[in-house]
Amino acid sequence: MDFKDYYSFLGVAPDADLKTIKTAYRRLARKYHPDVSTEKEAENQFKDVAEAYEVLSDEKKRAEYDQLRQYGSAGQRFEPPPGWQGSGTAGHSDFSDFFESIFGAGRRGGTSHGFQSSEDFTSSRGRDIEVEMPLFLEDTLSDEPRPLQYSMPHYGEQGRLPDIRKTLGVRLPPGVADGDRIRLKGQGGPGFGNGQPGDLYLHIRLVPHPLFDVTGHDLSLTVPVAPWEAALGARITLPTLTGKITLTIAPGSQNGQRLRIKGKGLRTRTGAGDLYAILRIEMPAGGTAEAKRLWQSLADTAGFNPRKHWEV
Amino acid sequence: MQTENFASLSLHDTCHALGIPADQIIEIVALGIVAPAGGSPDTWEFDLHMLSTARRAQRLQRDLHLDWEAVALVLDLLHERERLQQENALLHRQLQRLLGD
Repeated sequence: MDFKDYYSFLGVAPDADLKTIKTAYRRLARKYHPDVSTEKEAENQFKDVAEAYEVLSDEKKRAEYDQLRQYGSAGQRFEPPPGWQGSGTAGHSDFSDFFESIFGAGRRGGTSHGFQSSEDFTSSRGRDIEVEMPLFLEDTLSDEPRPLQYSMPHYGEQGRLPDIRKTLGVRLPPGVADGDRIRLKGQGGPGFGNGQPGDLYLHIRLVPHPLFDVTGHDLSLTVPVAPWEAALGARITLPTLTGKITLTIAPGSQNGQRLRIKGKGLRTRTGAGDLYAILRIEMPAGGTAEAKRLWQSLADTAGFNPRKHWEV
Repeated sequence: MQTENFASLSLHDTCHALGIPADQIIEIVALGIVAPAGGSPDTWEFDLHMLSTARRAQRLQRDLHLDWEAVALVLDLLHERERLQQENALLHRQLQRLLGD
């Protein structure tokens, strides 16, 4: 494993005092905290910062780390010296192999993303796992189970084991919407000892669709129409999530007009939302001399001034 | 696979899921960070959204060394930011569709 330079993670000098370390941690935690940050790689950055703070804010751990720093430096391969005995009281679950090789395995019951009480280490409930589940709009209409792959940390008596990779078939509850939370009981981390497994929480995220926009359970679709279709009315074919339909456009329709098509939106628990067709009048490019003549004749006879409310 | 999206959790269930004592959850509720149905702690019912918000509150409180009042403010602002980002993304997409880009 690579040696980790905790001082550089926090951007402090090796002789920095506790107050400086605390300030540096707080500043970086605000910047990279995964619940707050919009930075790329925020989660990994935050883990590094939290791990560095865990060590450097604790006098005993810092002394042990400083001692080991003599053996390695950043970017170098690192092995603890033979016979190294860490204090073994880490009590954290999400830290790196490097951390565990020095301070011992954290068992479980971490302070990071595990949310475990530390009541009983010999037998305790597994961790709850939160996973984002991106869905295409079409997926929300299907009753078929959807495959979901996720991985979760795993701990044994000796500390952290390789992550468990799991694949489940998830049947989505009808009417699932963007931002919804779904619980799958017992599909989280394995329990410790006789403890129950944790739960799996899915956070539903609808993937933007190339044609349809989503508001709640309603969809909207922008429909390009020719000027004469808007003027004279037309019957046009529209795509929906479940197939094609015919839409009647009334004569004299306006640009931006919204037409409601009932029940063609996303599924709700008991029915379905609506689809809104938004008309966008599109001019043909170029045109023949004959077309130009016809437009001119329309201009001469229509008597229409769209800017008559401007007093210019 | 059994899925739930309208689970109802008691105060005890919520403590258990979050691994924090009841008095902290009572404080989270008192600050309006989550608003369970039911009039008193004995009858409170939390849904999965509240559970997820409470988890987030717990992470912010612990990792950023904040007190609960500050957590409540941060969550309000984050929520507002997310709402505006979503609205902005939607309006942006609709504008592009209307302009025919």
